Amino acid sequence: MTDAKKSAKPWWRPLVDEIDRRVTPPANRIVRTNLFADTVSTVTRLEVRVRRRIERQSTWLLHQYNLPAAADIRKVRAQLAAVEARLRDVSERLEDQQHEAESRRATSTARAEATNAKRTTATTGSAAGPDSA
Amino acid sequence: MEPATSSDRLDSIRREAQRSIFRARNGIQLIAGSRKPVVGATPKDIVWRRGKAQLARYRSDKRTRQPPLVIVWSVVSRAYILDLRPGHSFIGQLLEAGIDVFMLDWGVPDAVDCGNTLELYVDNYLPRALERALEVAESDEVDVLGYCAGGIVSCLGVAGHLEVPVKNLALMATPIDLSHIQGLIRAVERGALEVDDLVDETGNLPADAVYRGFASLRPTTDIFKYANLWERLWNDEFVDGYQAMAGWIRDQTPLPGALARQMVDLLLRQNILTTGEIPLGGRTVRLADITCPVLNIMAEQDHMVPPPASEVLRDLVGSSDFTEARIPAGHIGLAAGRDAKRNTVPRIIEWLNARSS
Repeated sequence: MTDAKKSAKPWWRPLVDEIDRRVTPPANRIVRTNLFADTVSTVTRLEVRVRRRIERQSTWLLHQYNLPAAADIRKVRAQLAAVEARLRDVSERLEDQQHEAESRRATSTARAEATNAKRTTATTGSAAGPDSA
Repeated sequence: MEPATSSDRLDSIRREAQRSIFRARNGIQLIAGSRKPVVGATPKDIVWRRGKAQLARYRSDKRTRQPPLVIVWSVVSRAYILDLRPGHSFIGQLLEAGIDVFMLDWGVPDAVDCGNTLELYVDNYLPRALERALEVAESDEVDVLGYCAGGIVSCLGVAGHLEVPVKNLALMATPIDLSHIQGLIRAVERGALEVDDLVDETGNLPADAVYRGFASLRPTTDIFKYANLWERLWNDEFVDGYQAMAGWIRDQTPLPGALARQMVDLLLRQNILTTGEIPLGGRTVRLADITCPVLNIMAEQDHMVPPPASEVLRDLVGSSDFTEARIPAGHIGLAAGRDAKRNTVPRIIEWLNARSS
């Protein structure tokens, strides 16, 4: 493999590089023009419009025979997704509340422990006071 | 030029024959799809999850530096580009430098996520993920690194959640002034194309539309990359790298429909980031509230987010410690490959180390 790794440009490489050098800059310029953007937009919109029209007609036809169309399935899927999203929001809110409650509990426990420790110190201090004096 | 000896000629013939064998083997493997490069191989643990978003902490026994670094990934591409291949990993390089690395990945949205808005990412996911990173790393502060659109989320998150102790904010190829971004996006800005023309049945902007939008900016790249592949098809390492990179480029994620509409309206048509005041979740987020040190990394040959789209950030943030770095690379080269290894990652490490406790 070491022999094979020695680099030597193939005969066609300069040709490809030359084409790249000549074609790429103007192509890059073209795709940045408003004309290109508008053309792509028009084609895309037209494609979408045609697709939606065909879909509407095929849906109408399927409905004539009481058959569900892709649009109906899509509607059901969208509704399911919306329910799932709502469920996600609710469970996230619950999770947050749980987290808050836990941190509140931890804070109050820590505070109670600190108060107890202070009281113990005070009691020990007052008990030890006269002796040490 | 010395005349070639018969032994030289023989060597050359032998080399070409050997290459042809390797080329045939690799070509068959590529066509058959039996050759799959390993991507995102650095071991990690998922430490937080919400919706599709997840926070991963990369395993390392070399953690020497505090605070931890949370990478906030872009919402339109896959995060494994930062950990593309063993030995060529942005993440691996950060870990080697002793950094505790976390990755906030937004995941791949589906129909459930079509209503996801910027508020969800900025006000819900990001602050919670950062708090979790603080908790897991047992640190009082956190560093944030945002890439591309993840940089926008990072800026808004840091400015909008001053309660999260962000020590340093690094940004890579972050678009702020979207009037400098070229291509089909301009048609969307002018209203010649609407998000609703592009969304699919899941209510999201499909991954393919995202890919085509990016690919249209470099129309000849796909053609000439095959010439590069053919030339070096005999080289196993090149083929692995090519496959990993080409696979990532095609592997875009859909963009939630609601987020796309919001981005088009606020960020593109109103170019609101350039005002420094962004209405979000019923309040105004001010970029001037970012007072921590900021590193803004731009790629000099970035065809997606050219430097002028990013450099305006300097005038918007309130930080007195603002560093700008221009890396001689492209948008992807900033995060992967030789340029990232030699320039981007060392620059980030150096900047973070100079500001670490």
